[in-house]
Amino acid sequence: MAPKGGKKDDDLAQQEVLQAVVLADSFASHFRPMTFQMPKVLMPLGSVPMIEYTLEFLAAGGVQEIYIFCCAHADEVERYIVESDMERRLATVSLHVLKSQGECMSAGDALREVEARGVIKSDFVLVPGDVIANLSLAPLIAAHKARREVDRDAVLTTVMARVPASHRARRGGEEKLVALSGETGRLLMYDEAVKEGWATKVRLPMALLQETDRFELHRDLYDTHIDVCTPELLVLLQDNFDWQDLRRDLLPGVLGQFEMLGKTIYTHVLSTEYAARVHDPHTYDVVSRDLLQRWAFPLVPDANLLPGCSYRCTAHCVYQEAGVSLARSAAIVRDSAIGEGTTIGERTVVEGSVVGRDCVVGVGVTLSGCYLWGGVIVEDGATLTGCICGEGVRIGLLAKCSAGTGLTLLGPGGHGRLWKVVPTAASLGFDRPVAQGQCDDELSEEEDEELEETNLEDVENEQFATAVRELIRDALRSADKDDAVENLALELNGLKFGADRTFADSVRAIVPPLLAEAASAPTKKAKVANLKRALEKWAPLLKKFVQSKADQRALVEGVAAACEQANEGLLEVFDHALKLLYDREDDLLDEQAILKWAAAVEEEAEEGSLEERLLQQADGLLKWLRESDDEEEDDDDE
Amino acid sequence: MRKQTISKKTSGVGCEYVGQSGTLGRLAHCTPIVATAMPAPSSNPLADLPPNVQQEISKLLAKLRRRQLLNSLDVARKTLEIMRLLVATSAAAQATDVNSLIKLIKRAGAVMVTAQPHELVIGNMVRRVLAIVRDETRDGGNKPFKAGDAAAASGGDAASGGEQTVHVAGPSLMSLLDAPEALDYSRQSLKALKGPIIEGIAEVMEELSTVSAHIAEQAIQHIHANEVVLTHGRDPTVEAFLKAAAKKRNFDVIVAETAPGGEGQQMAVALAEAGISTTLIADAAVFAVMARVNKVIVGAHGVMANGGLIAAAGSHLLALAAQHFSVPVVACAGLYKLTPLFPSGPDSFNMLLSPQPMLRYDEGLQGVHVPNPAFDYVPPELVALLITNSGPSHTSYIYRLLAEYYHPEDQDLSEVHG
Repeated sequence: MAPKGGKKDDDLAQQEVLQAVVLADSFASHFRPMTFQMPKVLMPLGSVPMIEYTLEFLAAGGVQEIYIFCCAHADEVERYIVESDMERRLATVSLHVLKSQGECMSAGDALREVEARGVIKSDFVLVPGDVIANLSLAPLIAAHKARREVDRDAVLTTVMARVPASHRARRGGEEKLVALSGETGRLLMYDEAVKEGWATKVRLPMALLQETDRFELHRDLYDTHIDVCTPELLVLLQDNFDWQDLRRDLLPGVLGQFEMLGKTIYTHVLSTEYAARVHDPHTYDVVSRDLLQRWAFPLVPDANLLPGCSYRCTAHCVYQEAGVSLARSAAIVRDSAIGEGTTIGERTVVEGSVVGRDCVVGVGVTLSGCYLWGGVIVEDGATLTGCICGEGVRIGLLAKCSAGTGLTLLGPGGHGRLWKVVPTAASLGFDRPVAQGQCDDELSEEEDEELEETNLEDVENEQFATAVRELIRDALRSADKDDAVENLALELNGLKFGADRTFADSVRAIVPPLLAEAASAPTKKAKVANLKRALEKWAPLLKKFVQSKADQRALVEGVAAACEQANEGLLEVFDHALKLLYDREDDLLDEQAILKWAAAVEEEAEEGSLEERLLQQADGLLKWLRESDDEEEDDDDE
Repeated sequence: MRKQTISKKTSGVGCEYVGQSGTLGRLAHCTPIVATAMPAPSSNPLADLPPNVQQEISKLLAKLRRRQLLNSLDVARKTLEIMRLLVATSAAAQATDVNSLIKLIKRAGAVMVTAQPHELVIGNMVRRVLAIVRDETRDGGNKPFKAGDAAAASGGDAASGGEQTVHVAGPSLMSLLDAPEALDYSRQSLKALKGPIIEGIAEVMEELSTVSAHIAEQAIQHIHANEVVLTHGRDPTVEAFLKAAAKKRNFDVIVAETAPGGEGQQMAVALAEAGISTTLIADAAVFAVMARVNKVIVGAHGVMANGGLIAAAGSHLLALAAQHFSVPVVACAGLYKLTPLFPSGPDSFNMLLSPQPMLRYDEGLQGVHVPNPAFDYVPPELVALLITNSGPSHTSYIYRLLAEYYHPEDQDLSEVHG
């Protein structure tokens, strides 16, 4: 008996275990402020946290080992995995949570850390923790392996779905041109649209024509972000430590440096299966609808992935749990899910919405395309369109909240607060989105056109700002050294050239992280003192970057941004910061720059917006400046 | 007009939030919430069961959820295996008397049924096992052979059908007016009963393995030479039934394609390969050909307590067309599909599939609602005959079969009596 058992073990060892890596962090900020408090992957989608769908998809596809890599909120993700008994429920996989130990700012960093842990033994599936898909992995893996037989240098197979650019799933502004080899499906070009669609010309690399006799140019491919990777890819990422984003850096990197690296990428185009990713509020809306309309079958609300869920599907894709109290005249029209313990009042209409557990929806309420997570109270007569309401939000009597075609995020917490829009007395709504430029970091709301226009610039700015932030954070640790300013200036300059930024761009990016530390002080007085110290130390650095009037203006904007980013801890000392800069003897900042900024902001600022509050805060300073320079005021403040 | 005033009415509650919204910074300092929108993740409904049973149940549920186990015979077999494991390892869950065993079985059954409500055979098998437990307890584990098993063992031997009814155990017509037997299950020790119970489960498994054969045996009594038979979908029982008849008789089969899944197409190919003269028609042509048809034979996903069928979508239409032309509808289903529940409402025990086969996702037709139900409910009055592995019976006779195989106390698995 013994030798037989031994042989069996050998067989098992030889049998390849299919591994998967789930990135439980999207390294983006589309879901702020929700993601300040909870990891994105635990946000409920349909009826359960979205990571449930991802893991279920992998398990159904025959993956046996899943590594969940967490950065932000790692403990909460781990706790959820353990407490929800995930491994037992998935039944066929072993789950491992990898918590990031270093500073992990991007998917590239995450994979480098995964590589460092040495857990990956063979080809593996890589997905973000927000992918909803029902494709079967087996043929995909088989095709990948078959290609590897032919082409040893194939490091990656990306999965794309054919979705026309006009489809609602793509409306979020995902525009890209993809070129594939007609014969093999090799990826030859992956070009994300620049700012305003493509210019009149698209540049096709010559290699395209040399590599293959026939190539296909696609505008209708939707990137599902499901990848089948080889261990070589991890090595490649290790070597190219500056690759951060898998799409923006890795794909162009591998494709562009084919001559040098000699690695190839292939694309698997889905025919009938469903695969989508939730990366921003718009796609949250789209994917939720798709789930409710059963496109991702068998991933549907009534699959009841969580124990204790009891969703049943009735006609018109209306899902109800047991213990829902529905008034006689209430109408759940279609594509909606209602959780246990929820009460819905008379004459209320619910359409295309998910109402979580223990919500109270009053009389005559209209919910359309809304996602109420749990314990939400909607009082009588409210009309909500396209909203995501966090845990325990309360919507007032006759409230109206709509976001056109986009989605509004209502902040979680005991009482509803609109993110970014300060609710003044008796008003908690807006019918216009916050202009994109004013809140490029934390998108509170999206409106299609504006988003498409500014998306890429935002992304680039964001990337640059992230890099600057990291540099400065490192520099602050060794701030005591004499040459700290010089060194940092040198490095920042390098970065500025690398990213092709102007001085003004740099100043805007530099100021917030420099001032961020001051925000942590408990009192206003301490904050001012901190500010003073920080500015004294770093003013020479700023001086190097502030070269012109425009840069001075950028400096003011930078300070404003700092006040915005530090959770507004710096708001109350905004004027002090400006004053400190103004008072410096090296002419770092003159009154014209401040007044021009104020004039520009005054025109655009909405009532109750952050800019408005900044203006109020700086009111005294502005008055004083104007008085001291009468003529200028006439010119500027028209 | 950039902003809209929303709280038009001032009321204590309605305005509560507005004054509170001091600084936005507060948001980040709120007490952290952890995904409580979902049910408490720690609640494991299987916690009372032995760990290996928990694991097996999770595996079965995962397979069903992922649609990797579609044949209801396999589901029934797997459920029985779990039940057998549960009985065998019940000591690990501190079940020493029959009552606690019944509770355990019901708990396991309730969890599985809640998770997969449309997989009717799970509940059926759990109830069968419960009936076995109750029978064995009543008989003290020493009665060697009982009527329920007798019917199962003698299977589709239609000739002995008359004899079976004499043997009927449980609440038969004869005992209807007697006082209900009051058995205190909690006083019965499990030790001596375990063996007979497991034996009983093994007998049901044996029955399952012969279901198709027993039903197919009866084929020649129902299909006559040169008849035209209409069927749809791809039910393995019906397929075996037709193939068995084809060994002795010459007849024509018309298969409706069963869009959008196209199971009828596969069925037509399979029948043609077996040498049966087969015609494939569109579902829309069913009414047109019905006048030529002598018999409609359909499979069932479940046979309900009132004799109605839960069958592949399109069956109802088929049955109505048949009724119009006075063509008899014959349903073939194993006894394991006998469900002691009554259908309530049009959506009970139904399931919507993906709209994908009907409309591609990338077609971009937004706003179109595309329901794709898996099943139909066929009311009992449309079904002329039900052929099970214990012989043919009329749908109005179902209640007798139910009494034979199930115990009335087990109807509701979520309730635990005494």
